[in-house]
Amino acid sequence: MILPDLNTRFAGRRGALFGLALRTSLLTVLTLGFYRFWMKTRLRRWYWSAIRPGGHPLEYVGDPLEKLLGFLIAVAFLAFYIGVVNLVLMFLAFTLLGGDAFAYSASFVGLIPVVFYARYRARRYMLARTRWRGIRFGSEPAAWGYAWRAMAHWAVTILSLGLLWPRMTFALEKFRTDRTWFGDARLEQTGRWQSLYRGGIHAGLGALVLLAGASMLFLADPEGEIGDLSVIVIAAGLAWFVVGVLHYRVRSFRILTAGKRLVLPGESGLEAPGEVSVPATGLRSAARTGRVLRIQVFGNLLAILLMLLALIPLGVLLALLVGLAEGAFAALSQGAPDVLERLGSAPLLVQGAVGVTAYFAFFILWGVLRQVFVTMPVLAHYAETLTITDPLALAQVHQRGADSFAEADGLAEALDLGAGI
Amino acid sequence: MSGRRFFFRRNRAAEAPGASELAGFADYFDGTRARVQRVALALDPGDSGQEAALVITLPEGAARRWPLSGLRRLRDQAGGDLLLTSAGAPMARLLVAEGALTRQLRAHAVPVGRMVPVAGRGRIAAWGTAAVGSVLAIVFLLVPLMADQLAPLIPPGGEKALGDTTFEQIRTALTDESGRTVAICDAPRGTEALELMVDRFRPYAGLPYPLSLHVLDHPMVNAFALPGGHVVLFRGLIEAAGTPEELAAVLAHELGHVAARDPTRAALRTAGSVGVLGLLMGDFAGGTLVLVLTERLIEARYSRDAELAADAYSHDLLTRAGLPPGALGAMFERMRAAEDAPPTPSPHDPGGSYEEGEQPHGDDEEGSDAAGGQPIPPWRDLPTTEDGGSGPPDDAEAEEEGIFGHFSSHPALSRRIRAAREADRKAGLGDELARVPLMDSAEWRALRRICR
Repeated sequence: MILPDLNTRFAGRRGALFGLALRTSLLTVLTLGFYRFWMKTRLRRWYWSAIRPGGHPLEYVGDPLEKLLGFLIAVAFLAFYIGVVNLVLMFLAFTLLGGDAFAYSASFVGLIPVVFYARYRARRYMLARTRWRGIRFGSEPAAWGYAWRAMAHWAVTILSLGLLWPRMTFALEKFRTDRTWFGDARLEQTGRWQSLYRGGIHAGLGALVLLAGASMLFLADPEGEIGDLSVIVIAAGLAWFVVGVLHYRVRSFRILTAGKRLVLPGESGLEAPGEVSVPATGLRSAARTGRVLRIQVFGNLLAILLMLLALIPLGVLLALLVGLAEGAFAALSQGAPDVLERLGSAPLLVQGAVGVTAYFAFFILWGVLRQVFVTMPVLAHYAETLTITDPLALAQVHQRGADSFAEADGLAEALDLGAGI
Repeated sequence: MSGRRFFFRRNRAAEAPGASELAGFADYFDGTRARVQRVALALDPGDSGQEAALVITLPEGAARRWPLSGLRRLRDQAGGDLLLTSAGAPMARLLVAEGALTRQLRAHAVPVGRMVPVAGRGRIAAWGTAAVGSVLAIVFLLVPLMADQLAPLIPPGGEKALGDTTFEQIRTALTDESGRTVAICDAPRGTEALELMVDRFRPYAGLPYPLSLHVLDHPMVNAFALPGGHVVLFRGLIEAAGTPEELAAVLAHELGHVAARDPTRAALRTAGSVGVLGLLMGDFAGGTLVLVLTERLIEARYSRDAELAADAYSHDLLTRAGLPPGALGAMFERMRAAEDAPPTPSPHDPGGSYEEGEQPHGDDEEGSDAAGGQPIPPWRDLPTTEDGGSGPPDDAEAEEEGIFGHFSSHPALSRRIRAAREADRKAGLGDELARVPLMDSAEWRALRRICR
């Protein structure tokens, strides 16, 4: 029996997200940042529940307290690493080389493996706390293995001047996917890395145009007409390249998604000859670059516009407050001059408080509007274009054990990776 | 939220019989297999022997009873439908499509945030303490200790490079609203006058590297030392100084920092602690942190001990150079007076009234009286000096409270002023007529116009 493919629905509404994001952001600021673990968990719960393959929501069961714990553990260790290593590097830089560029780059390079490690672990935590149809996802612990492979692939990619980028994309995705589980069924990444070149064509052409423009600028004498032309070529190349990179991300996502399939326990992944087997459950994505690009451009513009509209009345209100405070102080000073002397700097304090409020209002509003007009629509597009193919095998999937994983994604949190959700 | 929850619990028994029409269909996930089961829902109002419960009838006929008291709904869910679970079957899920049924069930189900039992609060507290302890130990103990040990090991060339970088960073940080980088003042005559001052100290200073002295066109009443022998004076300080000797005293104090390599220690310390603090703050207001730290760097705060050592160094250096150590005290007095004064009619307003009004000791006084070339420092009139410490103690405390004070992190000014006076008395220079003045009033005027 062949079942129809399962389409994915996105059930989230902008208004609900706006309310949730605004409330949680305010609480985050009021608690000096502590609420951010709760904020992130609640936003994830919301986003997950909005994504509904086959009409059934994903479920996020992460706990803010374990996120907080993971963050504290990460800080306890990272503080040592960052404090001592940075100091020693700075010392070495000035002792041996007489410049601090080395120290900054060494400190940065030293953190790179930790970043990959943290990313893998954050993904593992996210999967371990995600359920669909009541069944847990999971990921095998392989963070250090991932970190050194990622480093090696980056090195190869850089040495090949970016030509082997698709090889890295594929290899790292395969590493992650092959260690991903849904219940007791493992995911598998099939396909070839060369097929990703199809998606990279625009990025490559853009880079070539950019290169051509740069060499024109380099070769041309500064007065000549060719200088102006090269600027146009560079601008065009840059735009092409940026859109090309976005295109690569969307297309490679599609290609890699189409290559994923679910391997039930007992299956080798290879079909035994002559056996009539259930077709493997897989995925398909129809995400479109144009749509993602439109959301990015118009979503950000809309966010900026709304931000300005909201900040003008806010600014007027704050200015009124400052004026009011100054008036109050002037009145006070007439009654009792010595009081003013005592409180001489109080208008400054009011101004400071207003400034801080405006500062946070700006960042809260910007974050919330970006969630509503960029993050959510992009996610909705990726969700709505996702299809589960041949879902018959899903009914064979059984529950898997819980991954306690107390450190959660604290390291990624401490390193400030994966902003947003 | 909790009030609502309580309300529903209270009224559940009363509501239950009335809600007996509760019936419909839902999608059920048993938590053991990834299959969807379409189930029928019905409410069993319960009786004396059995609790009221939601009865879930599975496709094959079997039934699950979810007592209403254990009914939970998941929070922060998008969409109007309801995702339910039961305290007795925490892995099972019931997805009820939006409608009359969801409204009734919503009233019964207690919202839950936490679904997974995690580590106890004790563990969180333990790691929280460890994290805070680790950060405090690193920022306040380990990093300063390492900075102290490592600073003297950096070769002078390295320190110079460090100082050059920092100097440029500070100039950038002082960029004004219109985007102009703060200018370096180097009017030739003023620079010559400044050189006079440096020459006076040079034989006695014992610096590990050559001095580079800069004046920045900025109204701040402050001066600081940077790694590698950079000393920076602000225009505001030169304008605030009553006499060349007072300015020289501040310079001597900064030379003390240079000789002790305090700025290098501070730079290493900052390198170690900036990252750690950034780590704690996360993406929450990250940008401000950098700003605050840069400002701290400008304020060039060193430890209390380092300040007192630099004071002592300056007393000694001034004495050797034949200048009154008390001038440092006089300068501190001026700073304190400037701080205590209401902000607007500042005596050293950057717009400067010295141009017309001229300095406290005018041209006519020039050379007439060697001691008179130096006006009697105001502290000489204070009675508390000689009794040693009978000065108002609250004064010292109050000064440290000042948020806007330029030297707020420094040891209480009163104590330092007293120390300077003491040094002055010991040096016995204050009354000597043979003292060689630092510069004549023409040179002093040129120095005060170094930013023109």
